[in-house]
Amino acid sequence: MTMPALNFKVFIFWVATLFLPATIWGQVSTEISQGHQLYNQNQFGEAAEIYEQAITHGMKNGHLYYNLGNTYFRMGNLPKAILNYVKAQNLLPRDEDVKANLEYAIRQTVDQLDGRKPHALESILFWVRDVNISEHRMALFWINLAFWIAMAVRLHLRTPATQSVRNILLAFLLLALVSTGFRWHQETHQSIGVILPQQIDVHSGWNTSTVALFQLHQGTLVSIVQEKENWYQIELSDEKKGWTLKSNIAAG
Amino acid sequence: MSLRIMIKIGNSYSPRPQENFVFTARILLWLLVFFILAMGTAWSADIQVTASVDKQELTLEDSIRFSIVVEGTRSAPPPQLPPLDSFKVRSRGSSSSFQIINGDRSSSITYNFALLPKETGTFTIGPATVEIEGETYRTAPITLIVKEPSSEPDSSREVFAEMVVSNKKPYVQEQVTATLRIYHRVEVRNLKTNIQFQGFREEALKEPVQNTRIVNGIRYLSYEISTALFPLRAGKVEIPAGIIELDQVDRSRGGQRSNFFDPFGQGSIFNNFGRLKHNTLRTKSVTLDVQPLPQKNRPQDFSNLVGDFIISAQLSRAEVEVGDTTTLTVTVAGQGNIKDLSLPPPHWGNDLKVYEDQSEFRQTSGARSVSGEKVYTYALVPLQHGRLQVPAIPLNYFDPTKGDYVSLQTQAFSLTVSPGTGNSKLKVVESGSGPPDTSGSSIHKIGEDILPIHTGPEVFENQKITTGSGILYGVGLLLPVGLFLISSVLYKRQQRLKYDIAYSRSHGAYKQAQNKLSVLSPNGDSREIARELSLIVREYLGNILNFQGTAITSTEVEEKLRKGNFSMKEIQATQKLLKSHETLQYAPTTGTPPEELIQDARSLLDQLEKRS
Repeated sequence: MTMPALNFKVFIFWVATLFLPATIWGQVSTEISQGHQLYNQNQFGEAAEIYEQAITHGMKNGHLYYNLGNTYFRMGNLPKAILNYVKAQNLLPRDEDVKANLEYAIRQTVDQLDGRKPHALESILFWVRDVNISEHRMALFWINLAFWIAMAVRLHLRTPATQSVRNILLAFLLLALVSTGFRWHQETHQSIGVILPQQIDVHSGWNTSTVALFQLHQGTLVSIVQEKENWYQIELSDEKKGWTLKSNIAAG
Repeated sequence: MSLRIMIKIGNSYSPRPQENFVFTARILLWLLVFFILAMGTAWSADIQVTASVDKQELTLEDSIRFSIVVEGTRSAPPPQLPPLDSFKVRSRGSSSSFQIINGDRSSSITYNFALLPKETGTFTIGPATVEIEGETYRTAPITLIVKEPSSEPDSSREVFAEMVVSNKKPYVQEQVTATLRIYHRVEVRNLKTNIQFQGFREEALKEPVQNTRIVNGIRYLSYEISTALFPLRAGKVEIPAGIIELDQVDRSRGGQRSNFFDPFGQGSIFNNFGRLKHNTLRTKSVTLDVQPLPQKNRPQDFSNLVGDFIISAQLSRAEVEVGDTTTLTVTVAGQGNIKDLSLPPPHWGNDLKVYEDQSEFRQTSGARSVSGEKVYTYALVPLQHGRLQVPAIPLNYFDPTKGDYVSLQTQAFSLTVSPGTGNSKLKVVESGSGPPDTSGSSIHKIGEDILPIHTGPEVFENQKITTGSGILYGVGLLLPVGLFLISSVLYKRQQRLKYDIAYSRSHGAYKQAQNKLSVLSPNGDSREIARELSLIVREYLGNILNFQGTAITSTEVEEKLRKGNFSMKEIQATQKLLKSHETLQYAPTTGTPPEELIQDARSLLDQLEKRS
């Protein structure tokens, strides 16, 4: 089968899209390397300062949050260690080191509780926690591209096979859209927090006059449901819910 | 309404006995309803809400019982408390009562709260409110005075607490033991502590201990909770005042006194005869003057290890073949911040391939200090035969008792490596799987620690999604859609040109006519040019309207163009031009110059093309 001249031009357009750069990543700064050195010399306070500075300057990297978590762990600041491990896990969801250190840090807390409440949709979109937002975006990009290529091929080749491929890709595309949208919603709307003081009372309302429902201890991970003035409403994975002062929570 | 009717008609006839009963029952029912309504009105009219406290002067170590009594009802919602920012509020439950004394009924609900002061001063507890049947009832405000607790423990105090530190001038990272002592002469329960150790890394020490201590000549039982603290920076570092909450058991109302001490309320049923009195204790803040580690004699590869340590090493096999594995185990043990130990990588040389396993850490928390052991394991694979040296492993630490740095190192080992049996492939140990078990014994987990930091520069790419990359991504998502739409339009047009003859003829008609016009020579014979022009115009008309144009006459044009939805003006212009061409072809003389003829034809084609 010979390809008409016009179709060849269309083909070239499609191939060109394959080489579109999606994002441009920054380079590793020398500051972070200094942070590693300070950590290895047990100068944890200085290492934490350097890592924090890199984050303030716009660096967002799972390994950086992981290292910062280790640094705070060594400093004895368990809440900040746990919070940074969680941030690292968001970016590196399948990293075994991050998982191991987060679990170990949680085991050092009094409550030993990962109170993050999973969303109901996660039982259907079971892979969502294992794939970070960048991977979701890339998957969506390539599936989208593959789908429209399949559509273009089907213009020229209307066979049952191309129809099946198009339908399968359409199903994947819809799934990728829902999954990416859900992950994005989780990243931007779902907030988690870690208890800062040794022990806090969780109240029934946003006022210290209200009844203390239960107590939580330093380092416990909770889901933040909403906020009101200086208070957060928090929820645990076992449906326990209540209010505590914002100053008691390191939110992430 | 039915009652009134019965009374009205009651004069007109005599009711039978059964009807009399129904009548009486109805009267009684109405009286009962009236009575209940009247009672309800009377009760709701008597509703009173009062607030009370068990004392109005207290110290930071006390708590007060704050009760709100709602009288005149047995079903009131919980009261809305006023803002109590200077107190911690604990619910102590509610109780209700209903009494009939000499025919007088009274009912009430009491809501109890414990208020724990956070600061000293004079405070007014504002009115608490209760809303019953749309009406809001308020309590009267109550004034409370909160004072500092007594500075020195005196003989009247049954329970007090203090914070004791083992060293008020420690070095940075030197272990300090902070002990919270709770002195008591009565039984206490339900102990809760809240102490912040900011500026320290803290490690819990062994289980709390109980001692007997004499304070100002009075014998107390002392419950002691110790925590190992490691100061993180030099300078003045404060351990703020701690808050301890507990319940004292008051056995003055009977029940046998027991020496059983049960701070967590797990005691036997025999302890349940006393009355619990809630109490809050406060320790004084303690300031430590943390010394920086001296610069003098500081080793170059010192890694902030402070305490007292020993280092030892063991080589599993001193004689191996090339490619075979021997395990070097380095153990650092001692008292201090060993958890933070990070052994610098030894200089192995080029004759050894070394696989380092994850270090194992085991911590032992004593009553007063934290000690531990960190074990580093290296799988050594010799690459050359002969006599190889396994280097000594150095360890530098600061000994706070000596006030100086100490340098230690393990012994160096000599490794005899034979050429092997010919099959000297590297028996590579996979990363993370640990060194091979050469001793044949099973491996027991002896400690746990976090995994090390990630240092590979290649992993530190910025994962942030910037606005620019977001826009680029959006374009990347939409571009395939756009390209598909363009290619789809182009493809359909191409297919139409291929299969739709009318479209295909119409599509190229104007271009074809223009090409033909452009090759006409203005210097030629006008009659010949008129004939050519007539042919070009008729061909063009045939193409755009899909008929045999060359055979059409000027009179047939009107019908064809009318079907093609051309305007009357265009039809007339076309007829006029074609007629003039016909006339010119057979005229004896040529009146119109050829350029004008061509221009007229070109104008007509432009006009028709716009329309088509």
